[in-house]
Amino acid sequence: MPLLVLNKLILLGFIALCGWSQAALAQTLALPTLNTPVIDQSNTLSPSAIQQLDTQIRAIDAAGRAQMGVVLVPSTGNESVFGYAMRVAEQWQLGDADKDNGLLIVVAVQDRRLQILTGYGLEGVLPDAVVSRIIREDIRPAFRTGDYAGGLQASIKRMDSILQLDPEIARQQAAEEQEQAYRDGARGDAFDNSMGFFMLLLIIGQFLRRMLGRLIAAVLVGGSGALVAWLAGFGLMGMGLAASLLFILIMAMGSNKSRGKRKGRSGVYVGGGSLGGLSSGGFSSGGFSGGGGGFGGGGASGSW
Amino acid sequence: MPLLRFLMIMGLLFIVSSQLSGCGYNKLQSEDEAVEAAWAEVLNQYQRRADLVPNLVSTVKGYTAQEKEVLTEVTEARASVGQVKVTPEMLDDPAALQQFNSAQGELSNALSRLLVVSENYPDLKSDALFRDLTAQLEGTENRITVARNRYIEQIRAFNTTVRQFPVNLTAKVIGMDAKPQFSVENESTIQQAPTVDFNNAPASAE
Repeated sequence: MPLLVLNKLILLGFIALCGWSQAALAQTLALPTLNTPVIDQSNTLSPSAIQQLDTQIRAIDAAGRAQMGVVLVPSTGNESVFGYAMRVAEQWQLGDADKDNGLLIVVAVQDRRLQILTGYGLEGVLPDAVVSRIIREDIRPAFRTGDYAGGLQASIKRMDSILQLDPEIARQQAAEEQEQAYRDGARGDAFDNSMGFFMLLLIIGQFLRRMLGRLIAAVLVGGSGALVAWLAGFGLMGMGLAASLLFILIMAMGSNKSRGKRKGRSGVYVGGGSLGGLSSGGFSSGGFSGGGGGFGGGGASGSW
Repeated sequence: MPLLRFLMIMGLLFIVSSQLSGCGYNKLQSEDEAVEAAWAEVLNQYQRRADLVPNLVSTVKGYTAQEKEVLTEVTEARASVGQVKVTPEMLDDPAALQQFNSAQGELSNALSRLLVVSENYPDLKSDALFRDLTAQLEGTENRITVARNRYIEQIRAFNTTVRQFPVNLTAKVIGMDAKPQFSVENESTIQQAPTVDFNNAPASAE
């Protein structure tokens, strides 16, 4: 009997543990989805104020200076406002992928704390000290009187006026770095994809050889191999190599048939060549969406 | 036709080898590079913080001449951070990484003590330069957190790749091994519950 009790206790403990871990999970807030520049989950702003901020932010975005986002939540719970803001920033990816010109304002109304995050491309134009100043001078006094809309508008206006002064240098820098990283990453993909094409061409070559004969098939496949290599950007060397290899292989496989040894089945094992190299980038939502901008934790926080 | 047979075998060998490299080798290389890039960002942000310290110290000094202890602590921690030699090989050396982490952790502690002390000086707190510097420091600490997280994530990805079959064979051949993960610099102090002592408040607070 005591054993049974023990078992029950263990079971109970398990259940309690599961419940606890679930509660722990629930403590990190679910993130809002981005479909409009201003998301107010705390019902602080009036609809007309949201509308005003919306047009203000969209105008800055349309001019290509920065893509801003404003989130108001009642509280960020156990998480710091910075941690929450960073998660939002990483999910939304505000700002252009080349310019990294995203900017996120998160206000935790009941916590009386806010965080402004600047994207990589804006860090030079809007250094942390400047953002902190804007929080102290424009946002804090207005928020203290309960004028949330006014504080947000004034701060966005001031940040935009700074962006208008000299956005060029920071922009170019970010774009260049981004391009460099992209170039490093793209090479391997091209190679993988063209290997897939290479295998595909070999298979097609098998069929062509039966229909058209060895020589014609080898010439055709070799030619398309060169074309693929050229499209993938491998240069003359790669083109020649691909063409001659395919040509020789098709010719050689033909020789098997003449000896009647393998009945046309090639011994080539086709691995899963990664042909689907084109991933669909960008977002499909019509309203307002991030463009892949990166954030590194720059910005400032404040309270009121 | 011995020549054609030979060529065919060569061709097959070529395909097999390139398939292999497509599977593991290139991935290993690009992830290794990503780890290094993430590490460079970590170093970059730590450097940014170290560059801030002298300005911060001299600003605070102007207001709090009597808080010599904290100031020297910060200066010393800053100096020891500068002494840790940072090399790319250090990524594969847990001991060097540990040393780096503990030096940076000491500077973190010293800086947070400095900020706590500065709370007692209203003049200092309203100084515009001090405000800017603390804003910069806060932003830099945040960037360090982000950079460290991203580095840990990259290491995780790299180590997963290195250990998984069949890439682990490729990794063994080219001599790549799992990298040591970043640990918290003061693991033992975090595990202890903090002690709160209200009697020990500094007298200058009143």
